[in-house]
Amino acid sequence: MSKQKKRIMAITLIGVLLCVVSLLALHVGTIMIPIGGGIQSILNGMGIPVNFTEPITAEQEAVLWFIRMPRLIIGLLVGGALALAGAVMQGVFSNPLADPGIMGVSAGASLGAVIAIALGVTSLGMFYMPAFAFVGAFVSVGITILLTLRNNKLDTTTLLLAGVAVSMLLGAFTSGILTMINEYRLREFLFWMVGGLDFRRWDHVALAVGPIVTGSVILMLLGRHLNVLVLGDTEARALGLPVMVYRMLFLFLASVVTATAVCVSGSIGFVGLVVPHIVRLLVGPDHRILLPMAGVGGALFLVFCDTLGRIIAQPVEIRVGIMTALLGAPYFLYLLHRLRSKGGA
Amino acid sequence: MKLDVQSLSVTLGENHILKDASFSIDSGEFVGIIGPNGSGKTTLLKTLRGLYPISGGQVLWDGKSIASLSDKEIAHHVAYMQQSVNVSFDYEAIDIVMTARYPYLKWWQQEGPEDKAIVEKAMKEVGVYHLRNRSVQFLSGGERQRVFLAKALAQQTEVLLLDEPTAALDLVYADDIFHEGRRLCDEGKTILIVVHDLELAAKYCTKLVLVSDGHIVDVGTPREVLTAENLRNAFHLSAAVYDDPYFKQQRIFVFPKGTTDIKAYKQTNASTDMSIDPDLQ
Repeated sequence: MSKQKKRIMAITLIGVLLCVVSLLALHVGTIMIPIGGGIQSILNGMGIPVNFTEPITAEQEAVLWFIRMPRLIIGLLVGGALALAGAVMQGVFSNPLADPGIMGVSAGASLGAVIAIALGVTSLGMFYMPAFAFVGAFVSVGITILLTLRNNKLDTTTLLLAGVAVSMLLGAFTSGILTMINEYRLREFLFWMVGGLDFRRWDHVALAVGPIVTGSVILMLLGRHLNVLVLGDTEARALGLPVMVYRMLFLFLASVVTATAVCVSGSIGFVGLVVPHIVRLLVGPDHRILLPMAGVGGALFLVFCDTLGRIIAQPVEIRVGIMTALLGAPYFLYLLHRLRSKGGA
Repeated sequence: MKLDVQSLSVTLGENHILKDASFSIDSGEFVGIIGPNGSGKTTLLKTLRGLYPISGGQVLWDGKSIASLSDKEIAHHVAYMQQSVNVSFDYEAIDIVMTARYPYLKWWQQEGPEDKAIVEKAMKEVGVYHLRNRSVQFLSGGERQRVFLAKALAQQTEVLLLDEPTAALDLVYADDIFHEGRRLCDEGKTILIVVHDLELAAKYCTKLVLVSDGHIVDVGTPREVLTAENLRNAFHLSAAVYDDPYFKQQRIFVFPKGTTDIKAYKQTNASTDMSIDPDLQ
């Protein structure tokens, strides 16, 4: 079957590319780390004693373990989380233009972050900002859902509009606070708005890994249910799927995963919108394959953007949030054009 | 399965859609639900599937009230085919038919070889197996409806509820679907189908339920239900119902609006058992 072949080819391709890009991400930078020596150091660090090439210097060792590795892992986690959540949202809303922030997650997280900055708590410890952002994200999603919930039903069109309205309202608060705070704090917020992976440490990995991995694994296991939910309320209920339970579950898990990603890396656009599309073109719309592959594809895309951003304008670094938009926006426009010429989604 | 509808009322929002509807259907019947637009046909069908809350009376499947059954339990006995389903993504026909196995799987299970065999059989039965790897978005109206009919069959239920499956189809496909429906009933399934084409309904259905303004106007064989009087009551039109001399099929002639004198239409060899709107005779 040629379709099956195409799917296996795509999966292999994405897998190989992910390995190559990950190694490259560890390799390049102001201090270059030899690939062989890097692999050796990582294997030794994992308790597998190998000695096939010259060991890397202590400085390289430090850069590899305390700068590049956490940055790579955060990149993989955040990219995977955003793309997976995007694929889930597109499925739940049966709308190929939905993105992970559609329920107000990003707007809520931004408001949380700006409040943390305005209060000046960010200098007290690295966990304050993520905590504030996380709370903001969930308050926002909660408001969106409460506004939509009627007669124990959650209509997706209303949900979509409520999400937009809540995002705008919270955006107004964010802007309001921004106009009142100091310039150096404004700069801090700007850095948060344009998401980045720089200065991410193992602490950030520890923060993100639990919610993202747990949420993602559960979402992937529920792919078959999403395939039915995509066909709409009536169709799903007629097949005996508890629509309300699953819709809430999908929205909740996708929001947890997105909020966690946004908290540790700031707001990064276009990954959750564009990657699910490319992956859907490659492996088809079956969510059992689409969800894991979107995760892998998102990890690949984000690490690729981050690495590219680090090397194309050395010694200046272009933040990953800018890179994803630079690469993602043109593709998104192409997509819109294609949808229009096909006569709608 | 035997169906009993007892003084059923359904209210959606402020609108009383169905009012005190009662009828019963035996197992193995091919039932056409007919009536003008907005008379409550789709609401009736959806309520029989348990998709709308009942505000009065009850729906009994084999003596069991639908209100006491869960969606999943009902899905084991009753399949429901919508007028049209909006498929947002590029699913293949076989993916769509495969969703019919949903009610039989635990939440963690995946479809097994048995499910695949059932799906293959259903698709072959309605002649869409060759379309299995085609994207549903690019199928023609007729092909698409047959894919969804295959899905309803793959659900392996005793009862099929079909909501205007032939609405967008041309003559041949529509006749095909009804032919298929009649065959399935002869094999023991019970089918309720919403249909606009009265002559098609008369040709294949064993029983008709005539709905108008939320009321059941008449229930019975096509010959009992399709009378000029019933058509006047339900559709507010003047008509003549007769058997065509060649195929002995029921035909319906609708007099143009405002007709007061039917002499011009009457032929000398008109059949004597013709049912004509009493107001015009």
